[in-house]
This record gives sequence, structure tokens and C-alpha cells, in this order.
Amino acid sequence: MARLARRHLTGLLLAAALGAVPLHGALAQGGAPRIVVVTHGQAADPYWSVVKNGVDAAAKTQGANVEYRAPDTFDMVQMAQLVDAAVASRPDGLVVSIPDADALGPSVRRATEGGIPVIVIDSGGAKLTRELGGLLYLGQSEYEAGVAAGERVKALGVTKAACLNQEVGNVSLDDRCAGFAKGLGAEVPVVAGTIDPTEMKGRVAAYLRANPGVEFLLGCGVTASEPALDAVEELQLGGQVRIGTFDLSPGVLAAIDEGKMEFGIDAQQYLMGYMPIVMLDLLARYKLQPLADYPTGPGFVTKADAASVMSLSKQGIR
Amino acid sequence: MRRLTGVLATAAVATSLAAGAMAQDNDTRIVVVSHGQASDPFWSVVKNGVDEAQQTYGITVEYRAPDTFDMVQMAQLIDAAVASQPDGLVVSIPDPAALGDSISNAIAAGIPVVSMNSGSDVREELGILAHVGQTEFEAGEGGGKRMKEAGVTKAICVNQEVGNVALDTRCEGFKQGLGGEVEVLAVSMDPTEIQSAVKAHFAANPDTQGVLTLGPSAAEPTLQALEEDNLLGNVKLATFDLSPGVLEAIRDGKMLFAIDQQQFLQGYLPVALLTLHHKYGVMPAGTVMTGPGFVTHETAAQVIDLSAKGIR
Repeated sequence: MARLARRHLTGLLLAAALGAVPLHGALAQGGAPRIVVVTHGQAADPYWSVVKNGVDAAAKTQGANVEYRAPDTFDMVQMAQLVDAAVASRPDGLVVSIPDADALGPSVRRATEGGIPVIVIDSGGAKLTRELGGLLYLGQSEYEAGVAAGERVKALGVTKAACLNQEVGNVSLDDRCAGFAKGLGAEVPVVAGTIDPTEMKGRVAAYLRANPGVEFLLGCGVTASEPALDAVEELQLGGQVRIGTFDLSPGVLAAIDEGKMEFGIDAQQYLMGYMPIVMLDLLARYKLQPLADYPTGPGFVTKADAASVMSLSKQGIR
Repeated sequence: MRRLTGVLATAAVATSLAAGAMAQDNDTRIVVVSHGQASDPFWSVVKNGVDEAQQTYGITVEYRAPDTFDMVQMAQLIDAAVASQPDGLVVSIPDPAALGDSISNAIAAGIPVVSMNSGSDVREELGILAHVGQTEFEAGEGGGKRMKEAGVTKAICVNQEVGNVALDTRCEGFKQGLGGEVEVLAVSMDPTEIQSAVKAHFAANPDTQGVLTLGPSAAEPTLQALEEDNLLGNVKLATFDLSPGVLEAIRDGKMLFAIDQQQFLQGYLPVALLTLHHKYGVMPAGTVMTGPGFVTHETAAQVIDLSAKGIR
């Protein structure tokens, strides 16, 4: 095919549907793409340290220049300022989490309207991402993850289950229980607890005593499932009542490895850090567009892989 | 993490398009079995994606395809790949009935499988981990919506292989997206026959405002027919997939858009995902959509440049 003369492109704004990708930042000077990541998770938090490890690994592999920023504490004002500063620096791409749409929406919208490609991770959701002009949302759909868990439990032959929710009213957790019921195809009572382990253990024990036919307990998080396991063991119901959980922890992984828990649901947050860097790098270099959301989870960790996941967990990858 | 010692690949690293690359990873081997020959312009871009991912991740990748569109041969290639026990298998699935057994055997043998390009509908049923590609109905629908925005209410969908489910689905999606009148114009693969069929249609139906073709091999003769009969002023023409001729026509304002499935990503992303899966056990749970992207007048020039490099 005949080679065509390269057109000189300066700040060319593309059609809105493709997402505006003007040449600016390091790329315009022929350097490596520069991507800024702003999340609400401090790198010291075990969950977010895995995300950051994914970011760092992808930056290295792709050869991209990546900066990771997060506020010192859960501070939405500070986070909005970090997003604004990132936007002002005109990166080739921006990755953000949106735990608070009201606080962060305007800053993210300024980014997309300013022509910066934005990928949203972990929180915020697909609909909000679209509304703000983001390219895609990369996270786990809590409802869908619940459905997948329900289907898995149904396949075990279970008909009577309960969902342990340590924060009723937290939409993400409520969605997990609702999805679970849908996937199981049965009504699933919610055992409301708190994040206090003693309190949760007591409520689970009370529920078990009052409902001797229950066969499966799904915890909406580690703070629900670890105390639930204690309750089941104390009541010596390990043979009749199985447990699954959202999220992983060393305790959960050990329990799965020992056969005391059936599975842990992994949001695979390493991918939330890794894949946006890959996609924004390919967008900056080759104009290849990230087009649609895809879920990073649920991944189900079972006895077969618990030991290897424990090892990866120590390395900050799971 | 244990350090990986290994021999540095010379040629691969020297020609790497990526500015940075993982240290040589001798532990990961992935086999790609595709129905598209690397010499085909469309599939050569997929292969470039595979090659770039291979260089970026420093792993071993083998690309296999039958000499022609031959499902028996392709099933055999999958079986042979499975027997070699790779760390991951990437497959296109143009014919689930013909290839389903071989793929099921791969999964039963414990090999992680990612599909690409075709087969999104059978992913869950077969137990494939993820699919990377464009879904035909949604792509057609996107094209229909774009045509509608351009003011078209009556259009034809030129289908050179009625009965090919993927192509039929593209037309169905187009009709849905346009929300107006869409007639399927059945043609053969012969460019001369396509030209006469298009001319004949417009002679009998002068009020047709839009035409969607399902590939460049139909788009180019269709464009010629419309030009010769001086219809381009009133008729909006668009197509699936890219070619130099299509891109130039869009650049010159003769075609409205092309639906781009960004097949470079169909080669690149499955390799990246299976590498991460092999190392860390992680994998997204679903379909990674590489299309539809739309190449329009504003972007055609840039894409021509990238197309010359085998990236689009």
C-alpha cells in the first residue's frame, strides 16, 4: 500500500463519540505517554496497595510515565484538588476512582470536557462514568458478583441461605445480597450486623439457633464472614453450614485452604490498576479506543487455589 | 518476588515498539489459533497486536491458522495446541459447532482459554474465561444510529453472504439502530456483480438514502457504482471494517464512516490477559469490547497513517 505523507496534527479535536484525543503533553514531543492516577485509597491500605502494584507493573511494562496520587485520609476535598491539579498538568490519560459523585463529579467532568481521556476504576459505576464523559468503568458490579455467587451456591444444592451484611444501607453491600438472592433463585434473609466482630458473631449465632435449616451463609465482607466462621465453629455446625464471602484476607484465605470456607470473591483489583494503564498507553500511542466497561471481578478463590493466592497476597498482587 | 533469569531475546527486543518491556519471561507460553491467515490484511493487524504483546511481555507466543477457511483443519490446530499444554490458548470461533468440542477439551485439560474476534455468544456456555472483540449486533446498531443522525430514514444493507450469521446479525443491528426502513440487498463476492446490483437497486428505488456494506470488498465496488451514477451527493455510504481505499474515501468526504473493530486489540489484549492470568491468576469476567469504533472524516487521516503501520 502506498505510503501517505504524514499530516501535521496540532491539537486536533476529534469527534466527541471517539473521545477527544488532542496531541498534548509528553506525547506531542515524542516522549512516553504520561498518565496520572488519582484514587481515594492510600497506598498503605492493603486493598489499594494491590491496585497501586498493578499500576506500577503496567507502567513499567508499557514504558509509560505514571504518577499515583491519593489523599492522606478519606478526604474528598483534597481528592478533588488532586484531580484538578492532574487535569491542569494536561496528561495523556487520567485514571480515577469516584467514591463520592457529588464531591468529585465536577472535577472529573472538567477533565473529560478538557479533552483528557478518563478511565474510572473501583467505584462510581458505569452509568456515572458515561454521564461524566469517561471512556469506561473498570470495577466489579456488586449486584452481578452477588448473582454469580448465588448461582455457584445453588449449584452446590443449597436452597436455604442467609446474607450477612455488616452495613445495611451501604448500597454496594445491599446490592451484593440482592444479587445473591437472584442468583440462588430463593429468598435470602439478610442478617444485619455491624463491623464489630463480637457483635456480628453474636447475631450470626442467634440467627443459626433460630433457623436450624440454613445451609449457607454469604458474608458481604471479611468483617462479616470471619466472625460468622467463629460462630459456626462454636456451635459445631461446620458440617451443615457452609460459608462464602466477598473480599479476601489472610484469615479468609487460610479458612478456604483448610476447607472451612467455600470461596472468597475477589474483585481482582490488581486489574483495576493494571489495565487502565495498558489501555491509555495504547490510546496515546496508537489511537486505539477503550470502548466499553468490563468487570474485573468476581473471581472466585476456592480451595484449589487458596494457597497460591495466599502467596500472591503477601506480594501485594491479590 | 523470585527473580526470573533467562536469555534475552535479541531480535524481538530490538524491534520492540514499546519503550519499556518486562524482563524476559521464559515461563509463559501462549498459543493463538485463529481462522485468519497472517497474510490477510485484516488478520495481519491482529497478528501485529499479538507480536507487540509478545515483545512487551517478553513471553513465548505461537500463532497458528489454517491455510484457508477450513474448520476441520482449525479444530486439528486447536487439538495440537492443547496437546502441547500451553499456559494459555487464544482462539477465534467463527463456527462454534465445528470448534466447540476442541475448545471444551482444552478447558477440560485445564488450559485457560480466551476467545477473540468471533464467538462472544458461546463464551459462557463453553466456559471460556473472557472474550475480546466486537459484538456484531451492537456494532450494526451503532452504525444505524450514526446514519440516523445523518438524516437517513431509508437504507439498504449490502450482504455478500446471506446465511452467515455474523453478517446477518450486523444487518439486523443496523436496522434496529436506524429505526427506519432497511432492506437487505443480497449480493455475491464478485465486485462487478456488486456494482450492478447496487446500480439496479437505485434505479428501482431512487429514494434510498443510505447504504451500509459489511466489509471493504463490498464497500469499494459500491462506492464506485454510486460515483459512476452520480449518487454520492444524496446517498450516505458507510461500511464495516477498514481498508486504504475506504479510509481515503472517508477522508475525501465520499463515505460517512467505517466501523472499526480495532482488531489490533484482539491480538494484543488476550495475550496480555493470559500472561497476567498465568502469573497471578487474575482475569476479567466477561467481554472486552474492542469495537465498534467509528472512523469519520475528522479522524481518517490519522488512521491512514496508523493503517500504513499495520496498527489499524
